[in-house]
Amino acid sequence: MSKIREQALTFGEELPPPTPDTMHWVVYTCKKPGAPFKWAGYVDAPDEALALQYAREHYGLDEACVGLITHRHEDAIDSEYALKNLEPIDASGTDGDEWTVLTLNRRGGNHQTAGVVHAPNANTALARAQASFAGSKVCSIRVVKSSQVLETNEEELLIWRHHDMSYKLARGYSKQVRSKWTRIRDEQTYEDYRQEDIADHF
Amino acid sequence: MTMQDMLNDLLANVVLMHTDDKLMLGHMQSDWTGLAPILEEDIAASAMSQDDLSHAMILMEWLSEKYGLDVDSIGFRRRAEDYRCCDLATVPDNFDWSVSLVRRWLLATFSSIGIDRLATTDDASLSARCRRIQDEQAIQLKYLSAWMVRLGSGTDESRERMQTALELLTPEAGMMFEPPDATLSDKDACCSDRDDVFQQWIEIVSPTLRDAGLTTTFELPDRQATGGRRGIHAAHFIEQLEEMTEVIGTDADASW
Amino acid sequence: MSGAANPVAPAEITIDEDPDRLAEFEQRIADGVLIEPGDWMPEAYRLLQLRMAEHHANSEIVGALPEGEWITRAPGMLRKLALTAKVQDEVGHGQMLYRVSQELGKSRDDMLRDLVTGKTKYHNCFNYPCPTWADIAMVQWLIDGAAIMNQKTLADGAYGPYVRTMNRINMEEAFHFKSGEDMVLTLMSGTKAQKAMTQEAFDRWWTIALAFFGPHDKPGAEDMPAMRWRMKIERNDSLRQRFVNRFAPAAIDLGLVINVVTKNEQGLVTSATPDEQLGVDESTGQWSFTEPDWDEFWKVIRGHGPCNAQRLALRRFSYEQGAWVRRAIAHGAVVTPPAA
Repeated sequence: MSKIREQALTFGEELPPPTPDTMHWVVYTCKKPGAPFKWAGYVDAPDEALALQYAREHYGLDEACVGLITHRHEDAIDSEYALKNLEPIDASGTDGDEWTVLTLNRRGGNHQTAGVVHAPNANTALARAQASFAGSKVCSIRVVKSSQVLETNEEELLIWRHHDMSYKLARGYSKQVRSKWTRIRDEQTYEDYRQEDIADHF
Repeated sequence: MTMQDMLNDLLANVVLMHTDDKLMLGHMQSDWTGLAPILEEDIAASAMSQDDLSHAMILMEWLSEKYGLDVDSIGFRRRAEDYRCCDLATVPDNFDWSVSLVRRWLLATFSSIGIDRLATTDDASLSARCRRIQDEQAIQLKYLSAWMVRLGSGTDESRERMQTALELLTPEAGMMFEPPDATLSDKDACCSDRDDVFQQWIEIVSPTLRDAGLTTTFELPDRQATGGRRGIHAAHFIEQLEEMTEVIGTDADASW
Repeated sequence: MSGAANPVAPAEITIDEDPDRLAEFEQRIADGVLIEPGDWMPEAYRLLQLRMAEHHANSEIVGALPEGEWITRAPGMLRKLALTAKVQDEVGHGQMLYRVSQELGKSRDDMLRDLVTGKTKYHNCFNYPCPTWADIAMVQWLIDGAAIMNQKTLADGAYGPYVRTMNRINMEEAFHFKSGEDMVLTLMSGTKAQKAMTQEAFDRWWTIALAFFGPHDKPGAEDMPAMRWRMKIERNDSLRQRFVNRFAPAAIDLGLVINVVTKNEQGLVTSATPDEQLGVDESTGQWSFTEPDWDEFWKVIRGHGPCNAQRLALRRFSYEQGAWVRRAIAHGAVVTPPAA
């Protein structure tokens, strides 16, 4: 084990006092310019700056990423998760704040951004979002006031790195794994052949 | 071209100085993976230790092309006295987050100056590599500076811990500026202009320290003082190098 | 890697709900409709799902420790980067699974405290030692391989937030497995000493991998809540059989010998003889094999394994060492209780 981890560990009798959990944030990432932001995961963080930093360094580095957004869990208002797809309804209007609309295509699936609506309150925002975005494949709608959605993008600060990160992706190994299997199986076949050869002829 | 040719070259020595700082810092910090104070911070700090190791690799690839040595030979198979990192990189932190943070911040500010300067060299391949590193260095610097301020101005307890860590590492910081080769004059290669680099560095670190409410006085050591950059390493570097090469050193020809 | 195959049978579950409501809920699950936040669920379901997600999260966090020990010694730049990224992924999985658990009603800090004081468990396989670099290769190949097999079934579960997280985790596990496979292949294509070291590590980990899926299923497991509610999808014995069918031939192709072993208190092998039960029924493709030592399994689960104390001590050390940082950032921050 790393030598520093081997040191004799000493503890107090009691654990340090508990620290309450910090705020919960939901993170969505965007893989290429113009594509929707799709649900990626969550972070806990005490404020906006750290929420964004944590989101970048975790979900921004899981796969190629050009931008991400995050909002506090409690700032999201979800419609009921319907058992069937939502039908578009009749609701329109352009008054009120801007709300970011995210849709869920199926239960167990991932929310992704669909667009924005304007509305004076969350319920109206949900209704107007349903009017605009419900279609063949939406089972739930989430709205978040756009002013509560934080965004970071590559122009501001790099997210996915320039350096080769294939060491942390399965595809970084596929080719060499295949060729090593071929080589090791060929050697095995040759060894079997040689053994049989010996058995047959001597 | 051989290892010795590389070690005799002035520019290669400057490159090795930054390579080895990042290699050893990445080595020290990656050991924290799974043990940091907060899960999210664990992930972020680990990502940046991977950046440091990757930057070391980008620079080693340049040396590798130039001297026909493979990257792992440069990273893992040099004699201890042929490493050019400063001692600050391997001061044991005993899993004290304040020491880890201050160390990373001191070295990242230094590296960012060095990499910026190397990005202007005439060697097109080297300068292109350094430009790739620059954007990622910016992420680190912003991140680490924000944390210096956050913990320096957090609670009384965190301020005190940060101040203690800063005082622990301050004496080591001056030796970051040691030229990696005694023959480097002040006008030579981009990073050897010691007093100038030091001034530039002070201008970067001072505002952060001020915002963090932390105080210290950095001093340039005597010009004759020799340390890690010229291969005179502290015992803790040797220990880390032995640990780092424990597996790869068991068989020089094996592939792992 | 994962420990979601909870090897400990859940404690008594009492279901005290309106029968019509419960029937409707169970019908929904039987119809393959996923449960999402906001849906009604039986209290016993919430508790069981919380226990499962928390155990899984704990396993990721403790699972980061044995492999983490080898980051400083990884041979070569790419191995060092890959192992760091791999252990980092485990922490990330733990973080996501703690969030799923928070939503089911328990704070992260409570979960971390219960983990380090031994009130809650993590997967048994992390209580064994990794004495050589080849053990790291074996963990990534066999244990992550077993984890993928299990987690792929869990992604067919019924609880939306857990399923989402499982899909995301499985994507990263593919890297762990491939990287492990590459390490094993490299070592088994290497020198005599490397091959010997790999065989020894394989002897240590083969039976741990067999036990990974948990003990034999109780009769009627399909009708117990965990499976009826689709928290657990496939029986332990069925997963184990699929694992052997997949990995026994691969091990043989690599030139490894599948041995029956005895181990000492430190988890090191004291004797190894080829498994005479090993063989394949060509008509069905099913492999037969010698069972892992279940007495040892239960002993380790009860806390007397080679590394139980060491793992918990390091986790606790980390929890205590980091407390001042958590206090400093919570300072002045708005804090919300977990959403029940």
